[in-house]
Amino acid sequence: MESHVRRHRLLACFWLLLLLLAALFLFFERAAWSARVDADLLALLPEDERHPALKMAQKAISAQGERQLALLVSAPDASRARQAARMLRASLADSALTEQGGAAGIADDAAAGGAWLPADFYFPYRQGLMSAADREWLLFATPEEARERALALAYAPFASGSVSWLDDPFGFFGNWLQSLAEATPLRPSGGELMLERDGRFHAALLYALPGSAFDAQLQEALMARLDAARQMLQQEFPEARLLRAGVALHAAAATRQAREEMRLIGMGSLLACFLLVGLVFQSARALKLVLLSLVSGALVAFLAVFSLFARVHLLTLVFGASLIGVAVDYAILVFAQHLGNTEPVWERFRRLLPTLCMVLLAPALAYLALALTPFPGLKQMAIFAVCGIFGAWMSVVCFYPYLLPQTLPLPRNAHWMGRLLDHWPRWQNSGKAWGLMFVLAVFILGGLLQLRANDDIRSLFAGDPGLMAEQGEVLRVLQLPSPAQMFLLSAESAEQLLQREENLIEQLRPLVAAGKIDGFEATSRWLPSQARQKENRAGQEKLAASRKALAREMELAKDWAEKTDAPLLTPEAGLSLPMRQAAALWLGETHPGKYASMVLLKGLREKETAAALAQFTGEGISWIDQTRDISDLMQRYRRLLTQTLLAACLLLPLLLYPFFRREVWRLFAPVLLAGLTTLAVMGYLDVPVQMLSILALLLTLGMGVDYAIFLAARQTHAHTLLATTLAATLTLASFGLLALSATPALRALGLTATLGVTLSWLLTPVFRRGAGNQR
Amino acid sequence: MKNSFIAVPGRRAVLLLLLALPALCCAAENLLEEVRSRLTSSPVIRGEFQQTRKLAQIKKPLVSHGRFLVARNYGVLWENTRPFTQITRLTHGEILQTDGKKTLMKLDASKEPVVKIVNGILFSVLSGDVAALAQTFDYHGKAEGKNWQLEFTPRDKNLAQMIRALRLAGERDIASVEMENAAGDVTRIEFRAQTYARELSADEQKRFE
Repeated sequence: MESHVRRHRLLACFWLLLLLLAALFLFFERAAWSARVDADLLALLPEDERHPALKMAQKAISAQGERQLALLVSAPDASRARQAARMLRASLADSALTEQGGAAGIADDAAAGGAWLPADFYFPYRQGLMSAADREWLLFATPEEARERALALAYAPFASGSVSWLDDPFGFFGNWLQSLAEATPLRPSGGELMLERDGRFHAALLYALPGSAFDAQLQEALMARLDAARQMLQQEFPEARLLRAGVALHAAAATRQAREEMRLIGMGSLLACFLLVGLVFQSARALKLVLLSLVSGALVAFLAVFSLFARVHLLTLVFGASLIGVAVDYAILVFAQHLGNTEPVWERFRRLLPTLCMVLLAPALAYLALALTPFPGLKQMAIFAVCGIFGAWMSVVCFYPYLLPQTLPLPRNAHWMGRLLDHWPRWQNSGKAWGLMFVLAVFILGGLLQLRANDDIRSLFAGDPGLMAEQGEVLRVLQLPSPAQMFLLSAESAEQLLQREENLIEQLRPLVAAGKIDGFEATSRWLPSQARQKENRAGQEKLAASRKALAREMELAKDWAEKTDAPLLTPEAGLSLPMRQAAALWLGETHPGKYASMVLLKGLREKETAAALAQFTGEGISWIDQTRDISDLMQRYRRLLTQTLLAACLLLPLLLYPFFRREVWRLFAPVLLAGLTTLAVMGYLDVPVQMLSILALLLTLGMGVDYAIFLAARQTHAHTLLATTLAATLTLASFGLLALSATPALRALGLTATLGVTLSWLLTPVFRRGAGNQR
Repeated sequence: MKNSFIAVPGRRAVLLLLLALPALCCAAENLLEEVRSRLTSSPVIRGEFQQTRKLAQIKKPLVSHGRFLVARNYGVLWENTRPFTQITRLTHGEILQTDGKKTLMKLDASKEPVVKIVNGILFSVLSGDVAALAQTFDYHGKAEGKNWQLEFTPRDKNLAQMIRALRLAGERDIASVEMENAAGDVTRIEFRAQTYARELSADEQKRFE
C-alpha cells in the first residue's frame, strides 16, 4: 500500500512536470506554432507511393498554382470591360500582388499566348518546327502544290506577321507559331488580355501572391482588398461581373470556416460541460477538476501534433474541439463514484482503476484506427485525439486522488434517475421482447438494404459553393488544364522523354478532333524533340525542286534555294526560355538518369473519356487520375475500417470475457444494436456511408462499451447511470456540434456518432442485469 | 476704338490665340470628319483592284489584279484573277482562302481569336471606316481640296508586331491603300471602277454562306 502510494506520487510529480514543461513550451513558442496552423487542402491528401515522380508533379503544380490569382472582369461591351479591368487594377495597385502578363508586359510573357512569344527566339530553328497539320500536308503535297502554296503566300494581300516570306516561303514556321497560341484563348487588345465568350467580353488580370496561399494574414488582407474592389466595381460598372479563381481564396474561406467551427464546437462543448457538471455535482471543486483534466488533455494533444507535424491543419483543431465531450468522461466517472461515498479516496481509486483503464482503451483504440489510414490529415486527427484523451485521463488518474474532496453530496436528481432506471424497459426472455426484436430486425434489414457508400474525395473539402462555381467558370473561360488528371511520363533522357510526349500527343489528337477533349498542354509542343525536328527537315527536302522554281520566278539569288544547315533546338536552349507553360510541366531530371514530365488535358468532361485515356499507358507513360485514385483509396480504407470494426466486435468480447464472463453479451448487445440501427437509419435517410462514418461507428462501439462497463461496474447504481447519462450527453453535445461542420466528412462523423452514441446510451440500460441475477 | 485695338498688340495676340485654340485641339477630330464627309458611305461596294506587293529583300514587285466586294454585315470577298485565281473571304468568324475549287486555308476565330481583330481592321480599311480605325490606331494626315491622306499606326504594341502602318488616300472613293507589316512587306492596292449599292444580289449573298 505504502509503496503504491509512493510510486503513484512519483508518477504524479513526473506528470505535473511534463505538463508544466508542455505549457511553458507552448506558451513561449505560441507565435511559432500558431504560424504553423493552416488550412492547406492538399495536406489532407495522401501521398502516392506508387509514383515517386507524382509527388514532384503535385509539388510543381501546387507550387506554381498556389500563388496564382486570376480575376476575370466581363461586360457585354469590350471597352467597358477594359475600363472595368483598369479600375480593378488601379484599386489593387498598392497591394502586395504582382501582376503577370496583362499590361505589365504581354510580349515577354508566355501566359499571354504563344503568338506573342518572341518569334525571334525560335527563328534560327525554324526549319525543324512544323505544326501537325503541315506535317500531314507535306506527306501528300506535290512539288507543284508546294510552289502554288508559296506563291499564294507571296501574293496574299493581308499577310501579317514578323517573319518575311523569304525566310518562311511555305508558311510552316508561321503556322507553327500560330499553333502555340492555342495555349490560351486570351489575346492582347487595347492593353488588356481579353477574350470573347458567349457574347461577353472578359478581361483577365493575372496576379501572383507575394507569399503562401495558406498564410492566414495574407489571406485576410487579400480578401479585404478584393471585397473592396468588387464593391467599387459594382458601383462604377453595374453591368460588369467579376470572377475570381485562386487557391488563396479557397484557403481563406476554409480558414474562416474552420475558425468559426472551432469556436462553435469548442465553446459549445465547454459550456455544456461546465453547465451540466455544475448542475449535477454542484461543486466548484468539481468544475476546477474538470477544467484541469481538459487543459491537460489539450496540452498533451497540442504538444504531440506540433512536435510530430510540420504543419497542423485547422480541421484537426476543429475535430479536436469535439473531443472535449469524450475527455470529460473520465472526470465524470470518478465524480460519480464519489457521490455520497464515504470510503477512503485511495481505496475507491484502487477499485476504480481497472474500469478507468478499460474505458481509456476502447476509444483510444478506435481513434488509433484512424492513424492507420495514409491520409496525413486523418493521422494528425488520430494523434491529437489519442494524446488528448490520454492527457485528460492521466491527470484524472494522477491528480484526482489528491485533489478530490472526501465526498461529493448526492444530488437530488440522482434519486430521480434511479427511479427512472427502475421504469426503464429491461430485456426479458419473453415472447413480447422477441417480437419487438423481430420488428427491429426487419427495420434494420430494410435500412441496410438501402445503404449506399460514397467515397468521393470532395467529402474532405468544405469548398464554399459560390467560390467553387466561380473557380470552375474561370477555368472554363480561360480553358486552363485541370491538374487532377494527367499523364505522367518518364524516360532515361530529355530527348527520349520528348519523343514519348510526342507519341502520346499523336494518340490524343483524334480525341481532340472528336471533341472529347479540348486540347492538351505539354512541353514538347514548345520544344519538339530533336528526332521530330530532324524528321521535319528531312520531310522538307522534297521541296527542293519547288524552291528552285520559286527562286527563278521571284528572281532570287541562287543560293536561296540551297539547303542550309541550321541548328537544332536543344532541350537546354528550349527550357531556358521564360515560358511558364513549358517549364511547369517539365519536371526534369528527378533522379540521376531519370527524367519526368507531365501532359495535362483541357476540357476533360466525361468519365468514359477518362477511362479511354487510362488505356494510353505504355512504357514510361502512366495515367494519373487523382480524383479517382483518392476516391479508390478512401474506398479501400473504408473497407479496411469496416474490417477493423468487425474484428473489434469479435475481439473485444473475447478480451472482456475474463472480467465479465457470461455477462459479456450485456455489454455488446446494446452497442451492436445501436450500430446496426444507426446504419439502418442512414439507409432510410439516404445518408451515404463513408470512411469517417465507419470510424464514428468504431467510436460508438468504444463508448457504448464504456457505458456498459460503467453500468456493470457498479451494478446499475443510480449514480453510475447519472455518470453515463452525463457523459453521453456531453459526448453528444460535442458530436452534435461537429455534425454542424461544413466539411462533409466531419459532418458524417458527427452525425453517425451522435446517432450511434444516443442509441447505445438508450439501449444500454435495457440490457442491465435484473435485480435477481446480480452477481 | 479701332486704334486702341491695333495699338495693343498683346491683346490682339491673346484674341488670336483664343480663336485658334479650338482649332488646334480639334484638328485631328476634324480631319477624320473631313475624310468621312468626303467618302461615299455605302452598305455594298464593288470594284476592281491592282495590287503591288513589295516583299522585304525581294526586288521583283508582285503585281496581281482582281475584283473585290465589301458588304456591311457580311464581310469581304477578295478575288484575285491574275496571275492566278485565288478567292479570299473574310467574314466575322473566319478567313477562308480557296483557289475557286478547293480550300487552301481556313482560319477560325473560335480557334484563333486574332482572326476577329484582323478581319475587323481589314473590313474597316476596305470600307473606309476611318472612325473605327481611329479607335485602335493613332493617325495623322491631311485633307486638301478633294484629296485626303491618312496614315494609321497601331497604338497597341502587340498589334504593332503584325502591322506597322496603314496608309489610305482618296477623294470620294478610296483610291489606294498601303499596308506595311512588321516584316517590312508593303502591299499597295489601287482601286478602280468602284460602284455602290444598297444590297447584295442573291448570287453574292450565296457566296457569303
